[in-house]
Amino acid sequence: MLCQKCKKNEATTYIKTNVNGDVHEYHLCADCAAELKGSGAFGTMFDFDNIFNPMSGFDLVSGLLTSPFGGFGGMPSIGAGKRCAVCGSDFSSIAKSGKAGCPNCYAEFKSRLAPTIKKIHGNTVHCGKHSKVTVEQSNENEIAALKKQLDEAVKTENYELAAELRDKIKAMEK
Amino acid sequence: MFGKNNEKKWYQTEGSNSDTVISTRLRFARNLNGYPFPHIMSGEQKKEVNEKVRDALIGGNSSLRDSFKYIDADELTPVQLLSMVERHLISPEFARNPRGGALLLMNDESVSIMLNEEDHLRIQVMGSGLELDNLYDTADKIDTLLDETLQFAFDEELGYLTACPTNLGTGMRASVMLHLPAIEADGTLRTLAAGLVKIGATIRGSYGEGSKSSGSMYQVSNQVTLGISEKDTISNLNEITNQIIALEKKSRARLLENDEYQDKIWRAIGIMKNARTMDSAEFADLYSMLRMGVAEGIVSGVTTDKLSDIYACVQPAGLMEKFGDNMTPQQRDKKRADILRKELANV
Ligand SMILES: [Zn+2]
Ligand SMILES: [Zn+2]
Repeated sequence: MLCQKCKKNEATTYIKTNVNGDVHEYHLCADCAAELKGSGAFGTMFDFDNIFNPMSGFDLVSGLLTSPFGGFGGMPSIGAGKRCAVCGSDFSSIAKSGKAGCPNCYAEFKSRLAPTIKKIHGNTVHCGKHSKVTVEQSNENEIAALKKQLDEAVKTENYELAAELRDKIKAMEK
Repeated sequence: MFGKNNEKKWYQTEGSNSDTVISTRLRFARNLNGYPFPHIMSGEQKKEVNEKVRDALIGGNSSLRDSFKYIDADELTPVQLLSMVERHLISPEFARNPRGGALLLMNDESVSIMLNEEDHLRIQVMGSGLELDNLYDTADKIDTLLDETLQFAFDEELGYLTACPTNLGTGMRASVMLHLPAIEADGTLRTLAAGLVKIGATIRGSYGEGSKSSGSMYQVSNQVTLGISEKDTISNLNEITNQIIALEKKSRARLLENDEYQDKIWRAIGIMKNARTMDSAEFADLYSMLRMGVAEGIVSGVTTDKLSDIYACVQPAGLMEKFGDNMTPQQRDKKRADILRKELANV
């Protein structure tokens, strides 16, 4: 198949765009795809130079055009105007750039980012190396929970349980 | 693992599978809690992050104090930046927009930590053979050391939090640079690429995202980072790479039975040994033929190890760094041909 733009070279790049349900398909040669990419016509995030990059096909077919969050960019929705407490980003600026504003944005806009993250990675959670920060944090959370239980145990005069909890907390605080 | 100043650079040592494997790289994306990501950071905030990471790695009594140097990206000239891209120490993106960025570079250039590129930290480790496991160990050690004092952004479900959601999870990208002239020529590579998609891997041109392949150099890397551990990612990629290498070797054997193909190799050598001027595109194609000839034992008088060295030497920014920033393309092409005639005299 010949490139649809220059009609000279063999088409090696397949691009499917979907902007709010408006679907277009293109078969381009590497040069024309690179040129269009350079012009920003397809957004900045994807790599069209090469037929071997599966991400372009994958993301575009999912309708994520100018940014991974682009599919939601123009959609008015509940909570619009809400800003991240740390970096001040709102959801539309995240959608526009395709990047979160700061780590806290992932918590702040959790439910709105979830569908995109699922599209990229599948329905899954992290598996692998953990940062020590969270190990400490989860430790702290657990200690706080145990202390609550301890209060409760003392209140209800369950001293056996209270002693047990006290030992546990002591061991964890070391 | 931590080299001293006058040691050989990592790319000057021959790795395993050197007939097809050019190099291996692995990077971790990491970010600090409490700061915006670099694309919306102020200069002041970038400076703070640069200094925090620098102090965590080489401050005080750090065991790595003498192994790394800290480089302010604002102080690098365009030629120096490009030369670093050629050596894969920094990304093309970083070279295009170095403002406020910095680099922590290990003396033998096998570890390079980009600060304030797309993420606050990009810890990159490089080696010359198929050695993903070794590289992982090195990156893991550095990451763990930094994790002791820095507050990395991490979430139980999403893993390491990154500017772009495509890197969430491990934040790890492992890639192997392969020389694949034979399966590129016979079309096997194209069918293979489609299959890789399904198993979460990708193959593309030699300088990563957005780059074309030149001289049949391709980079195979993992695509998915969330829901798969570092170890599993690496073992998958090792398996994929070994399969590609096996295909390439089979195709090479078939191609080299063909006298016309052998003739192409010898002609390439003829040009390289005699040309008075050569641009980098022509060099990339001829180099590809020569490298295959040497790797397959058809050509003698030079090793693939030495070839990698020559390759790095005659890249545009590499030449300008050595022979003067104001070289014109014509002067570079002449110099390139001079170096090739001299270095390949015994081939
Ligand atoms: Zn075209
Ligand atoms: Zn934020």
